[in-house]
Amino acid sequence: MRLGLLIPLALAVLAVLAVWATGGFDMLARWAAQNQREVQGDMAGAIRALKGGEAGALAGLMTLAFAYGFFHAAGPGHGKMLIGGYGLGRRVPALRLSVIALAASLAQAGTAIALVYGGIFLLGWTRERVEGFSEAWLAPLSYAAIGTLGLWLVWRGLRGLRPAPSGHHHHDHDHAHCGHAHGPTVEEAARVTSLRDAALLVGGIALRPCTGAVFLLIICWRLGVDAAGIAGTLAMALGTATVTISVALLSTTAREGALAGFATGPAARRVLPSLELAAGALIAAAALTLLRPFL
Amino acid sequence: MRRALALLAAVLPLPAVAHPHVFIGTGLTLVLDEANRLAEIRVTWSYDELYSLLVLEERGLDPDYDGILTPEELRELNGFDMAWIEGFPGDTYVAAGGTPLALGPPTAYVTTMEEGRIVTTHTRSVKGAPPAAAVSVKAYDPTFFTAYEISRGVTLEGGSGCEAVIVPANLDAAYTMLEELLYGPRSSEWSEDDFPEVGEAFADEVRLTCASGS
Repeated sequence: MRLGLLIPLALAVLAVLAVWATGGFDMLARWAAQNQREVQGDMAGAIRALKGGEAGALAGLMTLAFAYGFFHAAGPGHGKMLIGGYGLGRRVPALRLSVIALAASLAQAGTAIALVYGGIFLLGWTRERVEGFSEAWLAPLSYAAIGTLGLWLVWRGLRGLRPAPSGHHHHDHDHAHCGHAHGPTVEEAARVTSLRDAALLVGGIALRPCTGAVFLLIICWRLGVDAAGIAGTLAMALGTATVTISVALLSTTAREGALAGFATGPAARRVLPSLELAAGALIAAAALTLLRPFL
Repeated sequence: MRRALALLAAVLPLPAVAHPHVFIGTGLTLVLDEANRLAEIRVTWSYDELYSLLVLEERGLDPDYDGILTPEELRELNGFDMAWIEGFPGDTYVAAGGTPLALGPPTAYVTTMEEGRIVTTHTRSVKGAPPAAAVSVKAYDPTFFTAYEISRGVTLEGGSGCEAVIVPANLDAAYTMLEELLYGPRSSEWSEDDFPEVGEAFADEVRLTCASGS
C-alpha cells in the first residue's frame, strides 16, 4: 500500500526535475533569462571599471560572474537533470553527489579556459573556430557521456528487476558478513561503479564549455587582465554549482524520504531497480535527443 | 560576425538554443509607398554591452576603453555584422497574408556607438511590395543563440492611415513548445534538416493595419 503511494511520489519528483531541466517552469526560466541579460550588461561595465583601475572593480566582476553562472544554470539545461536524475536513480550520499556537482562545474570552467588559451592563444584559432570546435566536437562528446550513463542505469535497473533465485536474498545477506575476498568485494565493486559514474557525470557536464565564460575569457585576455578573466570563469562555475548542488541535495533527500519505509524490505527489490530504470531511461532519452543532430 | 553566428546557427543543437548568449534590442522602420505597400524595411540592432565589448576588443578598437569610437574606428567597424553567408536570411522575417516574402540584401548600413553598445542599422527591400494591411514582421534567430527584442520600437514611414501593433510572443507557449519538442512523443520525428525553429516562438510579431478605404 505504501509502495503504491511512494513510487508515484518519487517518480513525480523525477518528473518535476525533468520539466525544470527542459524549461517547463516558465516563470523561473523567464526570470532567469531576464536576470542573465541584466547581469551580462553589468559585467561589461565591471570589466571596463577594472581596466580603468577603479577600486572594488574586481570584487564587483566576481560577484556578477557568480550571478551569471547562477542564473544561467537556473534556466533550461541538462546539468540539473543529469545530477537530479542520478540522485534519484542511484543511492548516493548527498555530500558525494554535491562534490561531483561542484567538480563538474569547476571542470567546465577548466574546459573553457583550456579552449580559449589552448585554441586562441597557442593555436591561433579565431573565436568562431573555438565555438565551432566546441559545438561540433565537445557537445556531442558530452551528450555521449550522458547517454552512456543513462543506458548504464537502465541496464542495472533491468538486472535488478530480474527475479532472484529463491532464498538468494537471505544468502546474500549472510554473504556480506563473511569477509572472504574471492573476486572483488561488494564494496570494491561499488567503488568502481561510483567512480565510473562520477566520471560520466563530470564529463557529461564539463565537456561542453559555457559560451558566456568564453566571451569573458577572450575579453579579459585582449584587455590584458587575464587573471580576472580566469577568476571570473571560476566564479561563474561556483554560481552554476549552487544550482546543481541544490538539485543534488533535493534529489537525494527526496529519494531517501520516499524510500525510507521499505528500502531494506522485500519491496525494495522492485522499487529501487524501477527507479533506477526510470531515471536511466529519462537521461538516455534526453541524451539521444541532444545527439541526434550529430548522427 | 553575423556570418559566424549564421555558421554557428547551422551547427547548434536545439538545447543550446535555450540559452541566448547575445541580446539584441531591435528597432524597425517600415517604409510604405503612396499606395500603402511595404517597400522596404530598416532594421536597427543594438548589441548588448558584453557582446559589444567582445567585438571591439577582438578588433583592437577603442584602446582607451571608454566605449566611444573615433570616426575612423567606426568606419573600420562598419559592416562587421553584414558579411552574411549565402542563404542567411538575416534574422528579419516578413510575411504577407501568412506567406513568407523574400528580402533583398542589406544595404545602406551604418554603425554607431551608444553608451558602450554597438548599434547598427541596415535597409532591406521587400520583394513583391505587399499591401501593408496584410503584413507581419518578426525579428528572431531561429536557433535562439541571439535573443531579439523589439525594444526600440516600430515606426511607419510614408503611407496613410496605417499603424503598427506589436503582438507579444506567448512565452508560456514558447517554453512549452521547447519542452515538447525535446522530450515529447513527437521529438523523434525531427531530423537534422527540419529541426524546428524555436527562436520564432519567442519572437514578438509586428502587424500592420490600415484604415479601410485608404
